Amino acid sequence: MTTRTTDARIPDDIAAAAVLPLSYTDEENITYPAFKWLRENNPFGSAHVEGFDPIWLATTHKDIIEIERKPQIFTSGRDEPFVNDTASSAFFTLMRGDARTLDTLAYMDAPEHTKIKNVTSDWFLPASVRKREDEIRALAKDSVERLLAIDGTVDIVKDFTLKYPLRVIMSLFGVPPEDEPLMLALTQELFGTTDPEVQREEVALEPDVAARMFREAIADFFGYFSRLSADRRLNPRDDLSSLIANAKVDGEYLPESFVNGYYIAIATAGHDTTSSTMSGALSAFARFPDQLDLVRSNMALVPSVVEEAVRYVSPVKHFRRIVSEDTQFHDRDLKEGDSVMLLYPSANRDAEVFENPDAFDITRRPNRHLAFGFGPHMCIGQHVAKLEMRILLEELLPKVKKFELEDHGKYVAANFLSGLKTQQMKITKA
Amino acid sequence: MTDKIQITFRDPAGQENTVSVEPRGTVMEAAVMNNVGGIIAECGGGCSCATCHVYVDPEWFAALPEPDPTESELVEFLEDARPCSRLSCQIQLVPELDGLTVQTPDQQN
Ligand code: HEM
Ligand code: FES
Repeated sequence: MTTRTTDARIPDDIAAAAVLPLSYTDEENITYPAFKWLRENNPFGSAHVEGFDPIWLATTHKDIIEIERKPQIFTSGRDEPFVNDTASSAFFTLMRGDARTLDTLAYMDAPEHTKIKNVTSDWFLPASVRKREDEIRALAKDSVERLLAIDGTVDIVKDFTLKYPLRVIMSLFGVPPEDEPLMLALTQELFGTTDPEVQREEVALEPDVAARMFREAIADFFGYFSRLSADRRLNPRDDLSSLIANAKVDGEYLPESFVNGYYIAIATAGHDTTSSTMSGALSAFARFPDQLDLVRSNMALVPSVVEEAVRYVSPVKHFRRIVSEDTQFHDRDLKEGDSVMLLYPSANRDAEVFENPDAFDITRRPNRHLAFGFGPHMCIGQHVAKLEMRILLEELLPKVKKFELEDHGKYVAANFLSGLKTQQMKITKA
Repeated sequence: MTDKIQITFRDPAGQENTVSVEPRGTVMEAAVMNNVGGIIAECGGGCSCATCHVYVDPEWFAALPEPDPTESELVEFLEDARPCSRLSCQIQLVPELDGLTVQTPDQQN
């Protein structure tokens, strides 16, 4: 890339567009235009937004890859791996005390990260997750049947895409179906987002009260999974909980906080992300009906639909890295302790890599998007996500001729995980 | 303790490097753990980066279980793919693979 001698500081309106949770409720008019401006004018600049600590924004495909290739310098383990406002950071500091918030992969660096990732990495390989195809297909068929049984307008999120990924994850864990409503409630409660509409009431409270409530929600969640792990140590089965509960690292069972960290990461990372991608794909089919006709006439394109949907939606808006030593990146001087925000949705609209990047085009090949990240932290669940999305589309698309939007849809106000939270649609059956 | 098996990595210049490993994990891990050059494994075995590409010697190629479609798709897009191309992170080490020989490509992209 050519060295640009621009001022490092990003104009305030652009910085706010990239960093503030509310911006992500209107990506088309707020975040994507800001990312385009950044890629063209200040691809690696410094954002100063009121209420947030200053942060570097990495916006191009090439830069994000380069940063993820250097995990010793751009670390995950030094602080929360997401960008929070200063008040929420205070909340996390209070909550965790001296400890790490969660003993889970996204908070770790090598060599610890490698060891813990190795516990499940084989289980998550394509050939291994494919063994679950029948199980997952049964869930997909059930979801599609329920959707198509609704007469009139449907909410594609609440009536369809929200529950399926959680059911998939729970079946992989081996959680019995009767406990699914409880798990749904717990995960939603735990991850009350920055969106005031879905936020747990407590988060709006003083940080110390909120921290206590958060700890209580975590305790409920962990209580459930501790019992599940205990059961699987006595009666191991062929499920993910048995693998995690019985795994030994350096000759010992994983400490309870690590076991629970695994559950919580998988339950939460595997849920909204996949749901948002699916609802985003169906809304894209409403806006690009030729793409729906194309795949319906050639179902072999479904895997490409999945890749394009993940690129187009990019449900994970960023991860954060902390700089471990003073260093240079392009012409910028980075100091130890600086934060870098890796803006995956921006990389995925980078015109250097994607022709006509704002179009939903299911024929892109190859589709080198970064929606699953890159490097050692690259999404461990990506093959699960791709498999469950492919199966869902295979079950749904032959039965639907047309999707039409009945309203503008509403997006979650969050700068980390965002996507549609409601979208009214009319479905014309085939 | 299980008996170790031998895996040979040949670089593009023909230089061979044989490592002795226990028959578990993958060919990629055997390479990385023994500092064999020419295998980057950017994604750490996630079957997504294709920087662990190897050419499997023909007499061994047929002995390997069929690649998963996800792997085949990635290999198809490699500029320097050949009929005997595999991603080494998808080859599980088992005792039957004692003597396996693979070659690393000119470069991993
Ligand atoms: C469309 C769906 C999904 C998307 C877009 C997505 C995206 C991501 C991204 C961007 C990262 C961070 C990558 C990086 O730092 O470079 C990540 C990490 C992770 N994902 Fe996913 N993900 C999805 C589905 C899933 C599923 C289904 C699971 C579990 C079954 C999962 C589990 C995880 C875990 C455990 C990590 C942490 C990995 C680490 O830090 O080493 N994800 N994901
Ligand atoms: S290590 Fe990335 S595909 Fe094999």
